[in-house]
Amino acid sequence: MRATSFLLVAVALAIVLISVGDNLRFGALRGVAATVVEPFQSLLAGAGNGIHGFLGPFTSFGDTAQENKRLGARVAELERQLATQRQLELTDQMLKQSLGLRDSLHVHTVGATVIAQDPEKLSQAVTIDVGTDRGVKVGMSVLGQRGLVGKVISTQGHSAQVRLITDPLLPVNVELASNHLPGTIKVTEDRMTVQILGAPTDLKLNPGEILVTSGLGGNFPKGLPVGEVVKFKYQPYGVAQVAEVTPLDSVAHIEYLLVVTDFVPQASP
Amino acid sequence: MSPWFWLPVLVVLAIVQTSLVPALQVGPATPQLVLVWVLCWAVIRGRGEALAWAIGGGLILDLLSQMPPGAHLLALSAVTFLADLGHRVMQGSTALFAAAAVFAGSLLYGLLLLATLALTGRRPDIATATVLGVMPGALYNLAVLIPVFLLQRGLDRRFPVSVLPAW
Repeated sequence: MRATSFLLVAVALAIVLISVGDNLRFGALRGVAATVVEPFQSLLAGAGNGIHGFLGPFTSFGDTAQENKRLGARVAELERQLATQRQLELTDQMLKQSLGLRDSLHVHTVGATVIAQDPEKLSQAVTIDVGTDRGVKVGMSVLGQRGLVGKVISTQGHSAQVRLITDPLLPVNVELASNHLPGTIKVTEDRMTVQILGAPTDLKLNPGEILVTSGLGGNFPKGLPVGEVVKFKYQPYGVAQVAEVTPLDSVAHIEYLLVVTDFVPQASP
Repeated sequence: MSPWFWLPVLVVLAIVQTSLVPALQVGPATPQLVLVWVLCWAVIRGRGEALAWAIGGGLILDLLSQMPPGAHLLALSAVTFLADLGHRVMQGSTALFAAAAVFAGSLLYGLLLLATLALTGRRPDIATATVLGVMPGALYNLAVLIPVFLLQRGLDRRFPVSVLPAW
C-alpha cells in the first residue's frame, strides 16, 4: 500500500515534469544544483582523469591498436594536406589582402575541462569548469581539438553546460569547405547526416570532405570545422541530398574544450 | 530509515556518477550507482522504503542531467516498485535475487529512459542504444552490486525494521 502510494506520487510528478517541466523553470533549478555541486564535481573529475590515465591501457587495448593504425594513415594524409594547405594559404592571404577581408577564423577562446557528464550518457551534454566568471555566455560555440563540438546552453558562476553536436536538439548549419554548398547537420536515431537542399545534379562528395559552419542563422561563427563526410550516394529523385557525417572530434571521450568567447549569437537558444 | 541519512548518500552517489564514473568506463559500459543503490535496498528491505529513495534519487539525477525533466524520476520509481514487489513475492533478500533484480531493473530503466527521450522528440536509436549502452551497463551494475549488497545488508541488520504487534 505504501509502495503503491509512493509510485503514484512519483508517476504523477514525473508526468507533470516531462510535460511542462521546461515551463516550470526546471532549468533554473538545474542551474542552482550545478552551482552547488560544481566544486565536488571538479575535485572528482580531476581524480577521475588520473584513474582514467592509469586504467586506460587495461580498458582500451583494442581501441589503441586501431587508433594507431588510424593515426598512421591520418599523419600521411595530413602531410599531403599540409603541402596543399601552404599553397592555398599563400593564395588566400593575397586574395584576402587585396579584398580587405578580415580573417573570419581568428577567434578568442577560454580553455575548459569537462567535469561532469550525463549520468547515463543518453543525453549528449557535458558540464565544463568555466562559467560567467570567465566570460562564458549562453550560445557560445565550443571547440574540441579539431573542430566544433557543441554550444553552451546554460551558465553558472564557475561552470556551464554544453550541448554536444551529437544531440538531436542541436542542428548545425554548415557548408562544404570545398565548394561552399550549404546544408544542415542533423542527428536522427544516433546517425549524423548533412542534408543539402538544391544540390547540383553532378554533386560528388568524397569521404573525408570537410564541413564547416556556414554562419547562416547566426548560431555559430562562420568557418569552424565541424565534421567530415563518411558516406554519400547521390539520390536522383531526392528533394535533399543526404550524406553520412562524423564529427571531427570524438565527442564520446572529450576532456578539454575551448569556448569561443568573441562570438555570441543574437538570439540565445 | 531517516531521510537525513539516505538523502546525502544519494547526493554523493549522483555526484560521483556524473564526475568520477565516466573515468571508469569499460568499452561502452558505465555503472549506475544510484540505480544499484536504490534497487538493492528495495530487494533487501522491501516495505516501500526504497520508493522514497527512488523519488529523491530520481529528482537529483534529473537536476544533474540534461535529459527531459522527470525522466529519471519515472524510470527509477517504476523499476524500484517492481523490485519492492519482488521482495514481497519472493519473501526474501538473497544475493541471487538482488542480482536478477539489478540486471532486469537496469535493462528496464534504460529502456524507460530511451522511451522518454523518444516521446519528447529526440528520436534515439533504441536498438543500438540497448545493445551498446544499456546491456553492457546492466552487466557492469552486477559488479557494482557486490559491495553495495554487502554494505546494505550490514545496514539492514544495524537498523532493523521495528515491527508492531498485530493487536
